[in-house]
Amino acid sequence: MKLYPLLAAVFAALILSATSVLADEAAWQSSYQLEAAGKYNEAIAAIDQVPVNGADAELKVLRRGWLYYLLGNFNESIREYRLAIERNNKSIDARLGVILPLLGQKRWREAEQSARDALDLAPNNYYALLRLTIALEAQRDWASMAKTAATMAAGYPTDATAYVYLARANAWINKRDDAVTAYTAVLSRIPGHLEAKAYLERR
Amino acid sequence: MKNKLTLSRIMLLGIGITSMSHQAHAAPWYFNAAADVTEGSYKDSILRDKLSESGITISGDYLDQGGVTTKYSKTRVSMKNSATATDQKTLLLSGRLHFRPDAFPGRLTVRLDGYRITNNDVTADTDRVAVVAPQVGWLSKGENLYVDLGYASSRYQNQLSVRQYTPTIGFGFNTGADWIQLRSYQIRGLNPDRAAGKSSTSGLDMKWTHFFTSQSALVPTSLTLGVATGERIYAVDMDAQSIANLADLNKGAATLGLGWNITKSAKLFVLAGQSRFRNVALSNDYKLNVGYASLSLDW
Repeated sequence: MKLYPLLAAVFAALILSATSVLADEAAWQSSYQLEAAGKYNEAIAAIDQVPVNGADAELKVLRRGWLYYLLGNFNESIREYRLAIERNNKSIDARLGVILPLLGQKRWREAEQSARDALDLAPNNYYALLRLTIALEAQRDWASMAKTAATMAAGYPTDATAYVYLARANAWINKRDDAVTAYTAVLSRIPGHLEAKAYLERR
Repeated sequence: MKNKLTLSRIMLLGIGITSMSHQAHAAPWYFNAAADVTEGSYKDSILRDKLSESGITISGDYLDQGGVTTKYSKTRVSMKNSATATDQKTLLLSGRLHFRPDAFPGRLTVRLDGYRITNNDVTADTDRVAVVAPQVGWLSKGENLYVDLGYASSRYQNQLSVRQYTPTIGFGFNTGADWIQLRSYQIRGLNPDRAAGKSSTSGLDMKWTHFFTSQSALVPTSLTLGVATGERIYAVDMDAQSIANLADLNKGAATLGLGWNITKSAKLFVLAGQSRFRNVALSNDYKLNVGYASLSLDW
């Protein structure tokens, strides 16, 4: 007879656990749907119930960082992404993510540092290279920008964006032939690219 | 691509040198050192002959979060009729923090300057001067609007204290190629016996800066025209970070400055100007013509 209360307790625990899992799934689904609808505050609120120390705690922090960024609440976004980095210092997602609000606030040197941190974990990662290039351009560090853009173009030769940044940097440091070559490469990838055509027509 | 606006040269943050390898990390601290020299000549002054000043400024900034500056300068005002020259030393320590509130996007900067001046003034009227000058400024996210409010409290010997308020507005136009700054100097609490008979003065500084986009090191990167109107005495220049403790009543000025980016790290700035003064006790109106040069290095 003592077995029955034990079995009842186990059964109740299983039911509660399954309910919780289903509830979390519903919360995530709701959050993604609200994001798609542009309702970012509601999307954040939808995952409030996800446990802060559960299996999806890291995902929750990353998602909050992303949603705060979409809201333009850059300080909160930075805080969430840095919390994610503290939880998991091997997270490429977090290191890539924090760059966006830093760029949004024009904190160019910090964005550069974060991009380099991401490249330490993931050498030649496209988004890290791209965001590093943007930070270097904002600082008018043309030589470093050219080197980074060249790395990006070498790793992603079909990508027009890499050649655009490479061309800009070469133009600023008066390497006109290299700028022409890069802008020509842009037109091969995006025919009619306005910036490339404008530069080449001036030449 | 037009050169985006910056503000006055004091607001310029040095562009740090980053490693050539994208795998290498940018240093979190970046520094600037500047040496400057001023030579001036007084015209129509009964007492004053020449002005010489030299200084060195060192700044350190941590990422995009803030920094400190220290400046040491020596000034000599030589007098006519073999009168003893005034030799002065000025020490500045300045700190700043940047904030980026999401509520009003842009950069909010809180700055605090402290000065200490010593000289050989036998009356001590201009010796052992202490100044504390806080300032709060906001640069819009688009970097096309700037406002600040500065306050300076100056303590002189022999019953003189000066309060200065400097509301400022600056705005860019022509896609950032041009910048205009207006700064009002409201100086209050003056002891008329020590301030040319004034208990308060009001003045206005206007500066227009044009940024050039040439990539040649020989072509200036900026040109600045400055005009000061109204009156001021014992003013604290919030851009140049200097104190006019030795000056008589200033009745206006005009300046022309040119800046060059010699290399990515080295910058040259030169300025020529004329200021008008009045020594009320002697009923003497005179001018000071100055030439100024500053060479700075970022690393």
